[in-house]
Amino acid sequence: MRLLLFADLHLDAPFAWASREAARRRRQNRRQSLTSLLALAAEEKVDAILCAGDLFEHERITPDTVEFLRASFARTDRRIFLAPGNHDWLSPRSPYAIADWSPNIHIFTEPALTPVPLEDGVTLWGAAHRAPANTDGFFAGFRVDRGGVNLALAHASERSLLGWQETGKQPHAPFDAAEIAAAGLDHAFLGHYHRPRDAERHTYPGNPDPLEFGEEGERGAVLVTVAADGAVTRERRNVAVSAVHDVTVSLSGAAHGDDVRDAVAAAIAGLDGSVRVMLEGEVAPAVTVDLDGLQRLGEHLDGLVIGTGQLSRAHDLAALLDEPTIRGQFVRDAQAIADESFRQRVVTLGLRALDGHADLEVA
Amino acid sequence: MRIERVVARAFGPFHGEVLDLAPGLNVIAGPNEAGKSTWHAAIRLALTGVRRGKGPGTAAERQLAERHRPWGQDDQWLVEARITLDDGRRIDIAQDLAGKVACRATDVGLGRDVSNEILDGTPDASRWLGLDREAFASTVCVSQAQILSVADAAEQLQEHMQRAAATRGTDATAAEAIARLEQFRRDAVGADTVAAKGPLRTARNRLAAAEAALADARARHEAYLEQAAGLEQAERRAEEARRALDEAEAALARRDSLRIAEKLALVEQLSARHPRPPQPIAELDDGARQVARALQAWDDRPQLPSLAGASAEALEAELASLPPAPEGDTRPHASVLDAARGLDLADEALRQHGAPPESGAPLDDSWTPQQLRELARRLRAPQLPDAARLEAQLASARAESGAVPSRWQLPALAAVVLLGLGGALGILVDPVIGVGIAVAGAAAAAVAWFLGGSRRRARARVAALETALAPYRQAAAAAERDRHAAIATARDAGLPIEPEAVDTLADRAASAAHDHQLAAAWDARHASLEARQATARAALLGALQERGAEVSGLEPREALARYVAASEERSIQAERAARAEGLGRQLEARRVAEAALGAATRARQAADVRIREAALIARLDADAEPTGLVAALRAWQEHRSAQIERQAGEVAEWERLQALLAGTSLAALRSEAAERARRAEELDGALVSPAARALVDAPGLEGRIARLREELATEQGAADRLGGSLRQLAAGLPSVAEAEESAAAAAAEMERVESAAQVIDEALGLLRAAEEQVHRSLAPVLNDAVARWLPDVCDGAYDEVSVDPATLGVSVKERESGQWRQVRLLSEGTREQIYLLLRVAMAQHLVTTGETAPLLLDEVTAQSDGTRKRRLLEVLHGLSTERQIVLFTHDDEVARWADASLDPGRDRLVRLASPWSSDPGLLPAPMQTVG
Repeated sequence: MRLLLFADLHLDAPFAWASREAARRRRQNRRQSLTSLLALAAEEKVDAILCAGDLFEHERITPDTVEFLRASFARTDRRIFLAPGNHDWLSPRSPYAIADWSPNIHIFTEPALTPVPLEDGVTLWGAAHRAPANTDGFFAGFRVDRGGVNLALAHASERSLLGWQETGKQPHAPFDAAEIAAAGLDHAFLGHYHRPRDAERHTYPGNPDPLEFGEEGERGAVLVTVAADGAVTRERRNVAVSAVHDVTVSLSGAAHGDDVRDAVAAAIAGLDGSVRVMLEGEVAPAVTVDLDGLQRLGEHLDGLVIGTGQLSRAHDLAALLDEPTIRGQFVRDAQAIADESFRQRVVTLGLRALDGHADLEVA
Repeated sequence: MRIERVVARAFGPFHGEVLDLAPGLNVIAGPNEAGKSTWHAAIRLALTGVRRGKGPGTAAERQLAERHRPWGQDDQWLVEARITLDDGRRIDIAQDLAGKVACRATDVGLGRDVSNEILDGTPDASRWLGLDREAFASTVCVSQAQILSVADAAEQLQEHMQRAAATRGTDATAAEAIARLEQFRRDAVGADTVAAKGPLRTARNRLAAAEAALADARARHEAYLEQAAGLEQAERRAEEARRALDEAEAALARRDSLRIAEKLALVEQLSARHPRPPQPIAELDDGARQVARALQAWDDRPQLPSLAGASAEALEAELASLPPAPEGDTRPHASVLDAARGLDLADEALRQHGAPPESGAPLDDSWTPQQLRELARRLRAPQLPDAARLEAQLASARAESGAVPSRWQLPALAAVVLLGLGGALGILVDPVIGVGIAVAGAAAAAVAWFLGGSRRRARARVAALETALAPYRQAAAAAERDRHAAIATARDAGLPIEPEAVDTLADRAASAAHDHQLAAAWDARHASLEARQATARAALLGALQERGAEVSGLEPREALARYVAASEERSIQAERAARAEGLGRQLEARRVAEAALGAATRARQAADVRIREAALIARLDADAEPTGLVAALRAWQEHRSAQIERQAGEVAEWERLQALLAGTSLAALRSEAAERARRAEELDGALVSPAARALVDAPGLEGRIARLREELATEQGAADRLGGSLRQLAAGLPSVAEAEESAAAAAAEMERVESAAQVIDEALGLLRAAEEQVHRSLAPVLNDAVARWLPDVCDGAYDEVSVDPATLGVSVKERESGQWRQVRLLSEGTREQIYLLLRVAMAQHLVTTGETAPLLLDEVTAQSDGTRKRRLLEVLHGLSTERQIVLFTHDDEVARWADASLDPGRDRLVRLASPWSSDPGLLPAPMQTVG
């Protein structure tokens, strides 16, 4: 039996770092990813498509996205099983409840695992989040009531991965990996963690299209083959239509603003999608770092984010600290500022003012 | 630090030229183009070198290179210097200004490279002073321009000090930096007032708008989901209504199918039994109906009634003899009786009033009793008892007055004589005698007085009584006059004049008046009773007339009697007339009975005829006895009924068949039954539940379907309306994600501006505090430096100096007046000198290593007159005892002063030759030194 697993598509999620156009492109990319995924399912002739939650964001989903989902799912002849997650939790007002889904769609609606036969001897147990938070684990204390191959589909947090996964993740429907075997389940197909994970008895496919910068790992849809004994083999397929890149650009040695511009332009040349450029190194006080100008270098990209947290100004602080001038006194007094970043910005600004710079904007 | 020598290996026009300098004041004099600026630059670059870095360098560096690179040898730009530090070390510095490679600093004594001590890319000796290249230039070098600026603009001195205090003179003053930061804050942050339009307010407004838009987007999104859920529920209700309708319609179809199948079976059965229409029974039925009607008429024929009593004719005759009912009252009407009783009472009252009283004597109405009594009173004599008493008293008084003698004259005479005599004797003879006689005279006088008084009192009483009597006497006289008038009146009237007689007449007149009053009262009562009687009579007549009685010319009581008699007659007539009604009813009844008898007779005859006619229909003997015919007809009828009943059954079945077919054919019915069965089969899927299947036999299924259709229409309508509303809502639904992104962007911008504000405010605060602190510490340093040399600079005119810590403004106190004057108000020369003193102090202050900084002065005396120039030079000469000073000048007067004033042991004058000079003493070496 062949299944296609995906999760955490997060349709209609916001992208606070992006411009309006870039954010729209990113949202459109999500839809295209789903379209690719459904095409893959048809191409691979899978028996069913499994979505382990967070298909969309309940609080943001637009009517257009609801219709897109409904129509996309209706176009395929594959059976699709949906297990609502904490972002697309099931309620009477959920699109899961109000949309006119095609017959090939099965939505798990109970807060506990309930069975659906996939084929003779193969049962899929699924559960739904019925609230955006405080959903109890699905596997603790659960036990299948039948033989054959028992699979599970849910949006859940494996506890041991909380520290390893991205920060800020809440333990929605938490469970321990051992609970799956204890429940008599052969394998659990899960969502929530965006970083992919293939464990012995469970699989996190990760988000199929990039959501944030810094995402690592081969993520996307997972083609699953279930053997008669319940063993699974997994094959990841990239269905992403956009890319995110993290680039670090050192500005050490830059003599002037053009050096800065050239360095950034070179770093993002040839890239597409969304790019986050982190500027680092020491630059001379007189060197202009024009963030607006640098931003315009990314017009060929879906989005460009420029960070300056690792950038500092090359003041001879040791000499300034000894200088019996107002400038020296200013630098000495500024050493009392505890926040290093803030101190650096204050010192740079004050020194640029004392140096007579007309442009005091501090990058 | 002292500079011993500078060697221009390849520097501008120089190639290997050497400039040796003394430790004190060095005056480098020469005309324009003699190389002063070149040596000035060579000294500075020999000490500091140039920055080593990528790129073309700064504009100042490029300008320096353009001016001082060796002419024609771009690849070599070399300069060297030897300096002596305060710790005694002698250092040779070589600067490869072009390549910036062969640069080094070498300790001459140790032969060791000490470049690292001062390395800033290349060796920079200003590091030994705690300075850098830029700071060295601004601290150690004093240019002609700076002196000129101080001389031309008084406030420049203060600004120079501020700039030096802030950045060692390399950049802005603290005030400029603060102003720049403040302007930057206005530009980058701005105010936060409502009306402000700066970045902070703009960001705040943008954030507020974005948050409001986000809240709106979320609310509308929530409403959308809510409404969508409502639509889903409405559609579910519509679906349920549709399902219920489907069930009902399926049940109805099932039932219709079953019923038409039953009908078809029946039709087929009837059709088989009656392939053709049965024979009509009308003919049979018609004869039977006639026989039946004849028998019915026979059975219904009436019995002949029996008649008794008077015939109708007799009754009619008797009735004709009776009088008609009278008109008018058959007994006296109550109104007449009441009126008659009223008349009786009036007559009785008149009777009881009786006869009139007897009248008295005729009344003489010329004198009323009152007039007579008044006349009698007047005829009586007046009675005045008080007057009589007073008259008696008067008589007594008169008598008394007449009895008193007139004896007072003598004693009076005696008194006169005695008094006269006594007086004369007293005067003439003997006073004593005179007095004695006079006393006697006085006594006589007293007696005379007493006697005269009694007479006077009696007369007075008489007078008083007379007075009291006067009114009485007048009244008595008036009364008497009236009595005489009354007498005359009585006589004229023929009345007696005696009062008593008149009184008697008065009594008689009063009695007569009373009798007349009684008679008048009786008359009045009598008249009233007569009027009542007349009224009663009229009322009786009226009542009688009202009742139709004849009253004309009759007395009431006669008319009444006639009325009563007439009533009694009418009463008798009425009793007779009353019999007519009973006779009428009796006559009517008789007539009806006689008519009924006729009708019965006719009916029985007709029944007999119809029986005989029926006998003909039944083919019986019509002339037979009727009773026998009837029996025979009944037998015939029974036989015929059985025959008709059979025929009627066939007709009824035929008619039922036709009704079942309802105008269609059996084939059509079969087709319809098949269609219904197919329809029922088609809808049968809806009848899955037992409840649905039970509907097949449920009553009122059609009504249920109608209700369900209505319910479905209602629910579907509600769902359609909700769907339309939802589509509208969805069409204008803002993107929550985009609203969140806008809010995040606005928040980020707000954070950026607020962060910028914090950074700027912090920098401003620190800068202001640093300015205050540095100025406060620098002020006494500058103060001491100037105070030390002030008497020399101003030739004793000022003896104290004060530096304002806030502004570094300098003031001096005038020795003679004791007044403080700001330096900017002093003469240009004094300002120049004080500026130099301040620069020296500032240079030393800014040097943080303790090393003594030399001073390189360029044409600082250029604009001074002779006196100021000498004074300045003397100050510099004095200063040079503490630090090396190199003064470049083109002024020959300065050179002459140096020639005359410098100490060859510690100072040096260097004369530079003009390129065009022919003085061999100055050529070829560009310098000539003394000392």
